[in-house]
Amino acid sequence: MTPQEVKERLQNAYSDGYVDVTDLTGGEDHYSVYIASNVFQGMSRIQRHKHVMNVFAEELKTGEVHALTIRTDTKENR
Amino acid sequence: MSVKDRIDKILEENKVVLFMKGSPEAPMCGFSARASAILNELNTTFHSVDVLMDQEIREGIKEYGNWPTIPQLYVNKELLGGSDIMMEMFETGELKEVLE
Repeated sequence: MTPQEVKERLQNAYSDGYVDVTDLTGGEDHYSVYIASNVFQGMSRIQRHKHVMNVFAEELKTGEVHALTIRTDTKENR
Repeated sequence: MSVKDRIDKILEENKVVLFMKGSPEAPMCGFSARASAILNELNTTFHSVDVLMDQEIREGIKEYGNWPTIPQLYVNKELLGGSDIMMEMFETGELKEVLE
């Protein structure tokens, strides 16, 4: 999965948000993502991470995305 | 015994459980290595489960807590998260409190 595809997928999922994607190894399967969106309002840390990983449920299952490091904020705290 | 019962039993018997790839002494993946290193840094006694040696648990644990990746840390039968949540909580001191 290319960085552009990851970014697009997140932008669609968090249309109000700011999204930043980093390919950690250049192998296009270890990503670090940062998302600032009000979707996370009132969500615990683990709920936020589950929410983001759900966007890549299929790729995480097949291993196309091997690892996803996640950092989230609501838009105010960004 | 279903995989769910097996996991329930492990979590019942151990306060802190790290499901990881490899073992703390020989981690087989960077994120698993980081997770076990954090627990060692906090001198935590924990039970580690090498999912590479147990395919049933490797898939079962993902469904159990609805978390698709390894490593996973459980404390008092509750999923805390993966290595990035552990790192975040370690840096804020929250992890130390939870483990006490």
